[in-house]
Amino acid sequence: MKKLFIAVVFLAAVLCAANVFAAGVTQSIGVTATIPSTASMTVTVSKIVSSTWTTTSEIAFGSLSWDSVNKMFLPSDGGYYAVDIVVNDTASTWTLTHTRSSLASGLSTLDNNVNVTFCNKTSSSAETTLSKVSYANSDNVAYTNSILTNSWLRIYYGIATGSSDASGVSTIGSGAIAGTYSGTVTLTLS
Amino acid sequence: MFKRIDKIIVGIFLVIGAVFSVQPLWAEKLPFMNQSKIRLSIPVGQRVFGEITIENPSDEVKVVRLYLEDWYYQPDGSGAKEFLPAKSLPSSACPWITFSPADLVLPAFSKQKINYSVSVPAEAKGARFATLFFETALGKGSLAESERTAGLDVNVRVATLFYIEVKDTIERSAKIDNLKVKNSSDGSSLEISLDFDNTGNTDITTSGSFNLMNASGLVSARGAFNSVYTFPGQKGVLSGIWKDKIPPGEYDLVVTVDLGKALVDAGLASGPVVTKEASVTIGENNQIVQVGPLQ
Repeated sequence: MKKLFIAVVFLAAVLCAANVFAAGVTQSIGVTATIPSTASMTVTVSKIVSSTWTTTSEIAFGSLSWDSVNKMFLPSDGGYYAVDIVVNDTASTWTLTHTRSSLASGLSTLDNNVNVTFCNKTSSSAETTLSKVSYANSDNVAYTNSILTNSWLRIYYGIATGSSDASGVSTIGSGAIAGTYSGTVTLTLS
Repeated sequence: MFKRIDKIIVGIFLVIGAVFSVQPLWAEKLPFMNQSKIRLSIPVGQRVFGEITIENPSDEVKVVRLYLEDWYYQPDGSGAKEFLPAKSLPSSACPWITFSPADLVLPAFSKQKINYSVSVPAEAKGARFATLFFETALGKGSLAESERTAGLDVNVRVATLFYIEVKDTIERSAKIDNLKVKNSSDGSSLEISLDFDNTGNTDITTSGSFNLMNASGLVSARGAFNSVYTFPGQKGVLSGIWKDKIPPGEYDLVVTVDLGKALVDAGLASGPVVTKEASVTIGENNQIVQVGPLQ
């Protein structure tokens, strides 16, 4: 056992000496790395009803029902939506832009009856509100990579409830014209 | 003791497992392409060909629509962009670009090449810009057939930006003036700003820095300016900050601005570089006593 220990110590000493001698010789090793130019997004639409999140592919508030207590139309299930956008772009600068067409049924719109909230997410629990606007004012809202570094963008869409609504947003009252209201949200990475 | 360690290890694995199990649930992968910016320098009357590869990383078939639009940098110089229909701006390169195909059906985990060509007319000069969008619809509305329904479709599009310069006609120049050196309200930092004006005929992305040299020629403060993104005729503000106190005295402020950051990013040439100087006198607690003319 003692001999084995001595042998190990001797071997370690020889190796250390070899390293010391080798340190006197300079060798240059070329290191190259190429990061390919790519731009991609991962987008997920989630419906939230009573704190339960369900992944979906569209923002469908569905049939609105009359709340006789608060005197307004609301989604029958009380649901709202979250869209998470994760960007993977190797360009030095990129911009994520939110544009929208009118949420309309003929000439009637719900553009001033929907809240749109842009948030910076750094983790599933950490969230900072960047802006909260009406759907009408959510056209051409842009955020650059300097704002979204090491984070992702979450956008909430919700029918006005009369509580904590964005400026210019009002509830859908009894005077609203019946119909099917549809629109398109476009998320652009550039 | 072992039981406690076991519990800790199991707890750590549960947390890690929870984190990784949440990620895929909200990760719908969309098609992506291999070039987000294409910068070309083409002689007049010449035509250049190229290709972009689009890839579907998901296990689902994806339908992608391709189309051209115009774009320009928003006036704040932050690099944010505004998009307009094709051929609506004088700086539009859309009439010069053709591509094929315009509609794609990408099978799961597949790739496809998009061929494009850029033709520069004989009388052209300066720079033109366009974007080729790759648009995917996440889902089409299926609104209920009841009397009062509301819903939004979500489209996602990724841009390949084209910067087309007509070779031997490019002027990359800028006017940099209106130097301001300010002391922060609590005297703990210095704020330096300059007005930037793109006086050339192509886009300019800046990369700038400042050095505050004392009477002995030693650097007392240095920092970087924000990048400013402009099209010809657009303006912006270069801003830099030094978060520390500087001993009272006479200084030379040396400002260096590289007008060719976009070229460097594209792996092409660099510069030109603009260098300006001004004398600055600083008093106690970073008080700015005097700022000389920018030369």
